[in-house]
Amino acid sequence: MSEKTININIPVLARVEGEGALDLRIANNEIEHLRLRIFEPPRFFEKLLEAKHYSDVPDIVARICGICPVAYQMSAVSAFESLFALDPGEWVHRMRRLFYCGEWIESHALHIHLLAAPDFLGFENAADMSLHFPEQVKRGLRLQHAGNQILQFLGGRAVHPVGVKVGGFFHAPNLVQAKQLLGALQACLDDAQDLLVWLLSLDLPGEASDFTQVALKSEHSYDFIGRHLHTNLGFDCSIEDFATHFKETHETHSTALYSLLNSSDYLVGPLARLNLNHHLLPQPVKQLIQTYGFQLPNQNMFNSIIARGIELYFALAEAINILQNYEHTQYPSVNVKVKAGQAFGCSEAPRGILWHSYEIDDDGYVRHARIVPPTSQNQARMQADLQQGLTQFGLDRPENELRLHAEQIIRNYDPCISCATHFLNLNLARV
Amino acid sequence: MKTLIVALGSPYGDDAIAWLCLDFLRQQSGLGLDYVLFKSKGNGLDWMQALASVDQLIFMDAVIGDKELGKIHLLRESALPTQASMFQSSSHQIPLDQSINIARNLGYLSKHARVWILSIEIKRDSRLVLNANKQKQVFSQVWSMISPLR
Repeated sequence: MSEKTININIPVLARVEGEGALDLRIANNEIEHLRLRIFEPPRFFEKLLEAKHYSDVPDIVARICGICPVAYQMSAVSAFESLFALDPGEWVHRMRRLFYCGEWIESHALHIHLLAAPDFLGFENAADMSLHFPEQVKRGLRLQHAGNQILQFLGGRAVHPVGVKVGGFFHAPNLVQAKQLLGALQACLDDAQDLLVWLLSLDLPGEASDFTQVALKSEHSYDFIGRHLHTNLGFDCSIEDFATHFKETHETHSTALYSLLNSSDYLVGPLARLNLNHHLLPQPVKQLIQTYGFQLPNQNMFNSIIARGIELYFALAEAINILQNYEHTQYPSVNVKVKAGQAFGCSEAPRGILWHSYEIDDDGYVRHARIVPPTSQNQARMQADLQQGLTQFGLDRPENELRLHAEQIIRNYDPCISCATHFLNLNLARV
Repeated sequence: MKTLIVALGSPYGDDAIAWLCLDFLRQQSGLGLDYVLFKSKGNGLDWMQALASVDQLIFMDAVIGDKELGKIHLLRESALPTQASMFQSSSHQIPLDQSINIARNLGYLSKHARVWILSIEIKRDSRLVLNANKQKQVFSQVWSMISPLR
């Protein structure tokens, strides 16, 4: 048999966070070897948290990621407050919801307009896209800025915000600031609706496939923070039982851990959330989805960009709703009484569930910390999706098309490899 | 000539040096009203908010170099490393060369506006922000480099 080996090297996988590579060997038009390698050095954040006081944790974990610091802060504070049997009150709960809306808006706006859309419109990058779709890119920047304004409102700054504490917030913004922010967000609502219409008009690739999906479970609203998880297979568990069912394993080719649910890969993130929890969306958002005919649940992973658009619209409308009823308080936080024990917290980062666990001593110091970010949870699913997606795409396609499609599949998950432990080197051997 | 000076950085360690330089410039009465000073907080796009009919754009940033702590390199836009020649420093964000192109393509930045980069050298194993004398030298150098660009 004649043997032909072709090597493709992509020095930079643009538009994802982190460093990784893909090895692909095709023999007789079948994938013989496929391995998503993450080689970014481990960052040891969990070890850094040991011996730190619980009150320092929200500011430390916020620095794990520049895109989803709120998620890290919310998972942490909800863990401690659950252990300390502390309810910070209705004002804090509403403001945390507003804060989280800001993070979803800025993260989804960035990914849709500057990271993912160039793929579906045939551009190398957002700069090239901005020449041909200037209004869409301007819209993306406006929406991202709106999200960042919410983060500044409660967190003092958009990147690595510092306003959060266990028990609430360090300060309550005044009514003038709230009114200004409300006006800025209301001015963006048409942008969010136009975005959704535009996303639904895109010619997206992909086919429906079966995969396990996991999201937070709640009873009454489309929530950001919660105590229970559920799947599309009928399984559910409390976040305290997460480690019993979700097992992390180390693979030699990856510095990020692989997380499996009952030994199988699974999806977390916007599409999983929407598929599992769309019945909890507010009626105006449901109405909008119905008006434009988007079917839920939806099993085409490439529709994740539409799921992000829907969540962005939801988050903006929700933020406006919260701010319309904003009241200033003299007491933006409650006092904390430390209790030793095991603390568990979980919230829906823009990319999916972010689970935290802390062992706390009598004085409130962290003895042990464990953080399971969404990208490591999606890593096995990404690899399975690559296997299936590239086969469906056609393994006899030219190398540059295979490489681009592989990149699109990976970018579609909006992976944050830096959180999980940055580019893709695709090494293709075709025999 | 209207100039926007963007300090890229954060409050942390030597990454703060460009912000400190901007604070120094803010105190210089000789700078004049034609200068707009902006602290970018690291998402690669926020500086576009401060663009309004500028003729000149100057970025200041800390870079890890192998010459001398606090040494300043004045670079033209064409000297910026492109995505194809470097690993992205933060790939969820937009590389500087791309964000400048986006600003031009969207009409936020004039096609004729000049772009400069003031790179301030830092080292992995030293702390420029803790060395008052070095900092004074850096501020003085920044001032002497920006002045001829008016």
